[in-house]
Amino acid sequence: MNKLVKALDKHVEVRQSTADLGFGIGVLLVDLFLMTVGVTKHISAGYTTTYGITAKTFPKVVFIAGIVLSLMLIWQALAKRKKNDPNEGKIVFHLINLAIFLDLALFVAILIPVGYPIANVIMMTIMYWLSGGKSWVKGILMSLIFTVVSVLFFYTYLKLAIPMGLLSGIL
Amino acid sequence: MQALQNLIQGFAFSADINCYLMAALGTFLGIIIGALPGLTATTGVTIFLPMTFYMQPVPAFGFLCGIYCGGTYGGSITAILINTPGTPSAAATAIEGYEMSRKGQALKALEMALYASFLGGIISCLCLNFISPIMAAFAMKFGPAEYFVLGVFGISIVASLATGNMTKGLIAATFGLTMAVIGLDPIDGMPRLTFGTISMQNGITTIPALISLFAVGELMCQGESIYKPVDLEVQAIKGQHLSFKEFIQHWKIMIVSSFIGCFIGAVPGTGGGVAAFCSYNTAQKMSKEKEAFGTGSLEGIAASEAGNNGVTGATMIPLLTLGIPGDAVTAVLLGALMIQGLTPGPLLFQGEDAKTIYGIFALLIICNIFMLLMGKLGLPLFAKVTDIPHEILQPIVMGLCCIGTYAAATRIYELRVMLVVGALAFFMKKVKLPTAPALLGLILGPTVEAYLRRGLLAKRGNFWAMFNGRPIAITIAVVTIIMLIYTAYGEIKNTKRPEE
Repeated sequence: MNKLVKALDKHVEVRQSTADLGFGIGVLLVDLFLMTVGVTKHISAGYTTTYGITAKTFPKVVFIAGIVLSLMLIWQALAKRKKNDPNEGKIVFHLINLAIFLDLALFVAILIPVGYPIANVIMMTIMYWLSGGKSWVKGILMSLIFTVVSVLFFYTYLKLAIPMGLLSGIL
Repeated sequence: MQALQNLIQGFAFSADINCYLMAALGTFLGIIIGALPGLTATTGVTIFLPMTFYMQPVPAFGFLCGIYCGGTYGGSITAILINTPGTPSAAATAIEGYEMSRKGQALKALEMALYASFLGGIISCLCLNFISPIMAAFAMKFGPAEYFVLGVFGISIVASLATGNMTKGLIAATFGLTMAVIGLDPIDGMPRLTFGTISMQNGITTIPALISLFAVGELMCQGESIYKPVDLEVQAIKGQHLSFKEFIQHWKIMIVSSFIGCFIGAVPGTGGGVAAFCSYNTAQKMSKEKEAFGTGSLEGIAASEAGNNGVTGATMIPLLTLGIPGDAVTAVLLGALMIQGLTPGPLLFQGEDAKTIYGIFALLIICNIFMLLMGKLGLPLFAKVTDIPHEILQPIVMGLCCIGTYAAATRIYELRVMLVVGALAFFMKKVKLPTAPALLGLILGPTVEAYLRRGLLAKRGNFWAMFNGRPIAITIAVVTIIMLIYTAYGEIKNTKRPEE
């Protein structure tokens, strides 16, 4: 385990029923928003409004199903909480999960300005460290080899328009 | 006879060095992926799918089917040697295989797993070849009502069977359906839920969504495994080879298990894990040496492996003939078919597309032959796969996800979708929501909607009139409703029971 991984060794533990309850409420709120604001403001009826069948019909069915199901999940979660079962499962959210997501988000954010080769090397090296790697050299070397192979395959062989960013004049 | 002719034509059509190379490469990668604990055949097919965008359909599917077959078999290697099934479908193999390894009979167990996997795979491919045209001919009678209820059936059966909690499965399906609604409406082309942005008119495209659901979410979850290091006791590949007599002694159970696998594979929502355990239990009931089960029984390995590989071809029957994927990996293959411009359904078995389909069937058989050869010759190499460090594997999988997603359309939008859906997949995994129904909802959503609206427009908006004179549609609808009520009843009973 390296220093970065050790520093990220923090977590939050929640009961399965609490997580289900939170998730159910989240789904309910999103579906209520989509059913009200989403359907009225962000979906137009379309041209073929014959017999009352419009572009809104199917989304409404889906959102109503979502509302009903989220209420069922909330009811199940409340029933589980009521039982107060000591053997109930726990869900653990680690800080490292968030760090991996941020690493990915960084790649997406810098891809266009710095280009794929640099963004990918940075993303993979960070990922190497987040996975417990200990040697900078090994991490960068592995990232470089992967990047070179993928550039050769996608950019040179398949002629895909991969953003080269800072290296566009060189490659 | 016609089916045999079609298969021979398929072999002729796929008799190309490029197709064989891709099938061999796919099988090789599949065995490695399957042998790696934490990576499944679904993850393998998902992360390598973008490599096939620029290939012809037959080699592309040879490659993907190779990963699928190899991945299903590969799970048995780690199951036998380290008691950690590389894939969920190898869990039953681990029970007997590891016990045999501890007794110094690892080689025998591995060889039995290989031969049983091969036999199961071949029987499954033959079932696919012989049953698909019959199913396709039957599906020619289908209209909008049948396709609509079939879509609903496919989504709901996978949602209710994919997990122990139907509500969670169905919520996951509504996530997929909600994602399917975003973008341009399939009938009018009107923007829906785009919130005024032009890029969102592209909708949630399949590739970033499936990479996020099956790989990115999983990677985020696996990050924490570093805090729970597991000391694995790796058994050496030693002992005697499996004798011909020992193989022949178990022919009956291998054939029975292969057919169990085929049957289960053809039913949407089940998959290799269920097939392996059903076959294992059947073998235990049929066995003359019941007491040997659990202590290292060759019969148990033969049943489990023939059962899980028996699924590989059969899951493609509902996929190719009706457009209904049987499990997560076939849901990914459905996306791959669409990318290649092939629309699953009965019309796929007619005209020029039929050649491609029979070519794929032939390559699936070839993949199984490659699996047998590679398994026989490369066993020591595949067993070494477990030595690949976590810190090397994780960044490589992440790198493949990123470049694969970008390559799908060379737009930053796809990467943003991957990020958002990846975070959603992470939370889904944490609260134990299955991801396969979400993908099914996303893929089948537009089809279900289009058929529903077409059916309603034809019947002047009367939903019930859609089913007038459509006995097949009514039967499927009734089966779906009964299954949902039955599962919901069981769930309500389970929720209330301890209070009583």
